[in-house]
Amino acid sequence: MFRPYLAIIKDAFRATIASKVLYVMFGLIALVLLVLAPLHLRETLDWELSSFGLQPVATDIVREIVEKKDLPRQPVVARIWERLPSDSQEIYLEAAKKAKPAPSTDASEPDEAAEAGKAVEIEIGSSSAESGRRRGQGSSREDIDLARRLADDLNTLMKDRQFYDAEVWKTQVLRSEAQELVDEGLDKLTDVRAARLNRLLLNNSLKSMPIPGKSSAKVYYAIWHMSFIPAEVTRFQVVSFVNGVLRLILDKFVLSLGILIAIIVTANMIPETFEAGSLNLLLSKPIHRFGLLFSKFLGGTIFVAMCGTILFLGIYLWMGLGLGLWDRATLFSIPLYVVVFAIYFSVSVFVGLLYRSAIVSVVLTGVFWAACFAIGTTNNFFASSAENQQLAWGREIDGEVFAINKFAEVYQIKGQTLEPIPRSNSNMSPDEQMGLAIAKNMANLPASPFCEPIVDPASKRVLIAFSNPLGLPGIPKSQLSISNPGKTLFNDYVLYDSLAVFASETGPLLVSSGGRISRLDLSKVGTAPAATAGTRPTISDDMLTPLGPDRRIDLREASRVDYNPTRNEFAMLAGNTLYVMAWRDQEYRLAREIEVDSGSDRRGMSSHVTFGQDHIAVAFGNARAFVFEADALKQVAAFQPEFRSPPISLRGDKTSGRIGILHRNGRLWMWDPTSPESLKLASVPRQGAISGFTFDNGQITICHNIDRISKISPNGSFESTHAPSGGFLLNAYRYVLRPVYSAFPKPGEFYRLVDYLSSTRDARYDANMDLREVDEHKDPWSPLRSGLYFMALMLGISWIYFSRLDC
Amino acid sequence: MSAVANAVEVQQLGKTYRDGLFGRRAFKALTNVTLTVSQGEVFGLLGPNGAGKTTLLKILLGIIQKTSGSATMLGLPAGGRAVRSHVGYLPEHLRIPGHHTVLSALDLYGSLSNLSGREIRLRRDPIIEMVGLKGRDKEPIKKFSKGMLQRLGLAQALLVQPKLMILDEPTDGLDPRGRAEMRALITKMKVDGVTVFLNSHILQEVELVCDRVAILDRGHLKFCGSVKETGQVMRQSTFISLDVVVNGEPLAVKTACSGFDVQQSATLPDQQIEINFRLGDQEEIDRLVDQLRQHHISIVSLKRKQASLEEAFLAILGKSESN
Repeated sequence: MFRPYLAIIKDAFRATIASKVLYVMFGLIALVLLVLAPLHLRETLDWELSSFGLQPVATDIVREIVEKKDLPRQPVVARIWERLPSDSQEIYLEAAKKAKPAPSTDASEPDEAAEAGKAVEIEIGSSSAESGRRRGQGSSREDIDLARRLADDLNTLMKDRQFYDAEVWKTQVLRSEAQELVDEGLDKLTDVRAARLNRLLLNNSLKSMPIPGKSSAKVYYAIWHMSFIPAEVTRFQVVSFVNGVLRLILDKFVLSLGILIAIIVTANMIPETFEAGSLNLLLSKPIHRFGLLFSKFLGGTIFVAMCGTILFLGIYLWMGLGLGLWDRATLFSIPLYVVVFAIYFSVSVFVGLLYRSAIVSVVLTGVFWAACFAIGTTNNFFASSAENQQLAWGREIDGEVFAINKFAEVYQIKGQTLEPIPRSNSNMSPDEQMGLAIAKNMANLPASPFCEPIVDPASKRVLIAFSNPLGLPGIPKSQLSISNPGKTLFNDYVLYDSLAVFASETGPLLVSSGGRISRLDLSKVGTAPAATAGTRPTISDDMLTPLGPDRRIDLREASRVDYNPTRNEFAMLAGNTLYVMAWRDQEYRLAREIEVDSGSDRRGMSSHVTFGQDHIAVAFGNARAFVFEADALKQVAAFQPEFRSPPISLRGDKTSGRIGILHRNGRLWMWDPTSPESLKLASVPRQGAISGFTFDNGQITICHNIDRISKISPNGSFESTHAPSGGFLLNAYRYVLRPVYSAFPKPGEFYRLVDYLSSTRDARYDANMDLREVDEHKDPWSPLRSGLYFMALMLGISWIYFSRLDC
Repeated sequence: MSAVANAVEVQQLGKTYRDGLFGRRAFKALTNVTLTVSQGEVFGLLGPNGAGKTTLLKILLGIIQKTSGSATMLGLPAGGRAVRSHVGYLPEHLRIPGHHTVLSALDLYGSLSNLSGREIRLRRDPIIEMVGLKGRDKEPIKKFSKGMLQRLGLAQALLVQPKLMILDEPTDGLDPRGRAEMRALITKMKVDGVTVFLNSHILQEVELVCDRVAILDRGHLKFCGSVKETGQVMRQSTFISLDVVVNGEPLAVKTACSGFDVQQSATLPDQQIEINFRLGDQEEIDRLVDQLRQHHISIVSLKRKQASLEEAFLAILGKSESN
């Protein structure tokens, strides 16, 4: 049944072999690989200890090991000791007894430094003055033997690939080179690099150890050293640079040129089939017309796949053998870029059918390429601009609907329009206004700078607290925006440190970045804007009543604090520690705390905390989330709903107790106290396009990008929807450009899928990964999906046309 | 496939080509063509350029679609994949990609007909020898002459051991020996029970091999019958061709022939003169004979010339034009 079509595919190969095209392609590929092949790294890695070098310090090292091996907070030294031979251990114990007390060393222990929440790099090295003095004095026979034995034992230890154990070293902060080697993966290290790692680990743990030489990588082209690359760079730096440059060259040059060559080479496959006397003979055979067409298409694609496989496989082997970088992205590129070619080839086939000319096929395929590029670039520009203006918060207040975008610009939705509520422009200097305008189009905010707005129940004024820890242009470092009671104007007030604001019966409660709580007396805050442009009125001390606590809690971000008005308690998250501040004796005091095991030993990971009704939820940048009972801080649930997308918003409904967690990929998950063991995708529409949400008296208000705010009841039914129509440009983007872009193939964006497939940025496997720091490609499968649909469409149209064609 | 009486049956077949914007321009290539081709016969399809011959062939093979009517081959709908595996086809202006050799080309076209590699290997050598390509099977085709290419085309058609062979200008490009060999092959196919449907401009070739012929003109079927029946058509035409050999003085002969349509004359040895007359009917023949005798011209021989196919062809077309 398939024999005729296989014969056509085989004939396509026969034709390329006969036309020498195959040899030309192979020649070009071989040329590229031959040019790359001589490029390699030579790394100098100092690890080995010599007995001569150890002589001055051998006794100090031995004494340090013996003194620390039994200390409970020195698991690393204990591990070193247990791996020494037993006969050596006896000798070292004797030597330590005989040795003089060691000079004082740095008192701070690595794990103490870690507990302080600071990333401390431990000094590597011994007391070099001491070692120099000893060297000058000459060594006794015992010293020489001890140094020799110690050198042998430690060198043997360093060759042991099982020496490093993450559990044992978790209390130590490693230097960058050691951390890089650990991150690379122990099983992927060569013996020399594994020994280097062990040497660095020994130096990290034993202060008496002599400092190893720096490792460096030199780039060589065959036998010539490329001296313009500094010799002091590490291997990792060189490899990262080459990888980045290579990806760029591959994507922009080799692949673009390669695909162009492939299109030119295959452009004549269909037109030559239509030559008089050739097509008639083929069609007289008992084969399907579509089978004939598809076999020709497949023949061309397989030929290009073969060439691409050889090229990418060669590059993969070169990178691995020459640079030590086994990058699976290169292998994933093979099938994906064959699909890219097939998309263009499907266009070439259709044009070849219509015009029966190879030249026209190439030209119109080029036009198609340009169209894809133009649509993609235009869409990305508008999407970037639109993304930065996504609605992050929306709410009905006194019957009116208000929304705030990621830049904290406030809007009121009136019917079909989104009317901006002015912020007093006299408060912003021209530079700030310009900076804000640029930031709105260019910046990619990892997190919104403002805390969830509140409505003061007494005055009906809306308050928004800002902080700008990232230093984004045009946005003040710290301020409070307060509306007038009619909510027709917002005034910005300078406040030294306002991280978050919460509504309470006694008035707005402000929280600073240090966790200090104050009550704001709104009656003392005026409503008139500043008279002078570029200035802002100040929230003065007489407007604030400090309410504790008496200790500093390092919050840094508004997402790390939440308030439950019913319980009158604050939840604060600093590092991995959850604190609950309760109202006692006219101030907020620490009531309870718990260390949350996020699975990560990173101190600065992004995090969120929120109160439900009687529960507190915590979420970290590695997408792990935990729920605790508020009273006893007993953990009741743990989840990791997403693996590659960080949480951007964690909110709790103080009425129903539900807790929602929104991830950067636009998916909203919901936890319900009635079924505490499960976290489910919220029953709301357009999951994947949610940009913000908030709870309001048991209902949930969802923001979808820039075009919709919906209020949904707990049972999932719509209460109301507001979809402002937007301006001409927005509507053109929404109704024309975006659908066209979605349907159009995106051959230039396959790198997103390559990145996604090859990426080790998966929090399941690396708990220390803060996903907020990782580029996330939204819907990385979109280029493949739309490409395959488009290709199927082109082949389908070609089939229909060909089947009806009178040849 | 069950035994069927007719290899090809065409009933009221019509084809209209459409061109221009939304296909507004229409051209009728075939109009109500009805013919049959019996099993085992050699059938010739004739007609001037643009008559619709190739269109008819292409409809039978499914290369183009009919507009109206019906057609079957070997009892199956014409143009279907099922029947195409039993049909061998040699197209006009055959083109086989130049990267092939004879062996690889037969391998390709045999595979397209779903023959296995083993079957192809078993069948191809005798066929290569039959078509006169023995010893050249590994040469690249791009070095072949037109005639050799034609032989290869025939070989690929024979490879499937067809029950019906469709040949479009099979002797195109062949030298006289090649044409003779082709005619011999066609005769052999007939002996083997293969039905041959051929389209040719060379009427002498058709006359030599075909049992029956059809004549198309501007999409209409003008004649369908045996080659002999074309003579009857000729006799029904407006003139009789008469060859007369006489003995006499040229001047006297000339005088005796006055009043009659002399087509040509030639002097033969022994003072004989051969004259070809174009006469209207038998009565005029009688008057000619009387006149010659009146002038004492001795009539050596008198022969009523049988109309050639070409003459019949032209006569039929001429009738068609006058109609």
